[in-house]
Amino acid sequence: MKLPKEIVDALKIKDPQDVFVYLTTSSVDGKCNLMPSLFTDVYQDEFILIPDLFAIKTKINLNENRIGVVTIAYPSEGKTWALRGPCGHIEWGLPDNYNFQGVTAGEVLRRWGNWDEIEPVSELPEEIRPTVVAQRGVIVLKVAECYTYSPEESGKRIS
Amino acid sequence: MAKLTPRMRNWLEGLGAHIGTATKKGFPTVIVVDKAKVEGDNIVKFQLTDAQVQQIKQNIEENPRVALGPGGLGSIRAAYQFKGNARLEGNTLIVEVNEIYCTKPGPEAGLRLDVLPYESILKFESTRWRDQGPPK
Amino acid sequence: MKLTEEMKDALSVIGGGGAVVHLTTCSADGKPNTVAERFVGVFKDEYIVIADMFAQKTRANLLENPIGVITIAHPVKGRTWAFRGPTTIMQEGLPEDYEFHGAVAKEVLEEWGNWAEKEPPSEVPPDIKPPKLVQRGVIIMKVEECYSYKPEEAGKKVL
Repeated sequence: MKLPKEIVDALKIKDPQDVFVYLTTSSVDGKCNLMPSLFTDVYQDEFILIPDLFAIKTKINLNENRIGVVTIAYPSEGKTWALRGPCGHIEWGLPDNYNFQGVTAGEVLRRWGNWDEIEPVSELPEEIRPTVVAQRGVIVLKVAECYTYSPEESGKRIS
Repeated sequence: MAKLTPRMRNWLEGLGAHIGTATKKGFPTVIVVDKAKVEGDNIVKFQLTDAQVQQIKQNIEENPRVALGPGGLGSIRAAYQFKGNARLEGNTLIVEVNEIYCTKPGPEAGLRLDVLPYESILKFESTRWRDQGPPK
Repeated sequence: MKLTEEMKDALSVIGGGGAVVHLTTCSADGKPNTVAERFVGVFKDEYIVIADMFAQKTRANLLENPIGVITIAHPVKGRTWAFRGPTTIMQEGLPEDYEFHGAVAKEVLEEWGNWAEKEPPSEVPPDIKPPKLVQRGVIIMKVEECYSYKPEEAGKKVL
């Protein structure tokens, strides 16, 4: 689904500290994992992109169960969206024409394969700044549904 | 058995968590609760609304395993992930934490903390973070 | 435990092409994982080092249960050895004085943190050459025991 502009704007990079998300994935037998990410971007208004910098269990999960949920962790005020859909990782070395849910490895890696060039980690606060960035690829979530997690209406579909 | 440190408790109680649940086949649903209560060494309780209970009840019944990531500012500064088994008592979600991980971006991302001696966890925290919880 | 010259030769295959070891680790609750590793070397006569490029479950396991077994996979040439000992992953960004069983991270990473310099990708056979060398760190084992995996004498202490 195409995301409303408000959500796209919230997830797009403006400054490294602008938005901070959790990507929740699950093993095939239902063991969840939450990965915090310092960086996100949106492509074609429906693909959420996250650099694979320190993903461990996230990738183990995506290798067996390709679905994820993105929630905005900070600043969360008023941004109570949970975005769920097919999720995979596009690693360096995949052929250019490798296709995941409508995007190709080539187009994703050329633009987001070296995230540090578009959004330098050196601008992050010291305590959370990684010293070395070794990006393996890009995690892609195609948004299929969006629900709110606001306490009163938690689970209600949005658009 | 996992034992939460005061810093972990302060962040969880202050800002709550994103709570990952899933069906037993691995279809995930996340809810977000903005505060929590930590009891004993490793029990975290969340007060849920009816809507939240409705959303995750089926998941918790068929698959009690959940993952918690601190919410709000804590998601940046409280770089932990807690995993454990959950049950619902009325509108209270009770999570018994049995795994604790470091999620600080960098060489120790993913490090499992609860397998270390408690004193080592305290030392690990004090050498990597300066705060003891969310700003008042 | 000091490795013998013969063992060091078998484990130092820089530029030699084709040597492979298997690294076995397990989760804290005992689920084992075995992966083939191509980039292996020896540090200070008693540690075996492996380039961490694609570790997933290995990494997840070592982060909760720092022990491993390394077995010679190819070429075996009668060297049916299994090395066991405390094992971890060292990465840039660890504190200066970080130490694991006597090995200081700074020294290990200075020597082995940039594998591509020691073994340029051009020396690796094309069919097993990684598409993009992104080394995350160094897997290091302090060898504490060595036993034989030869079927007739499996488990027999070698050193």
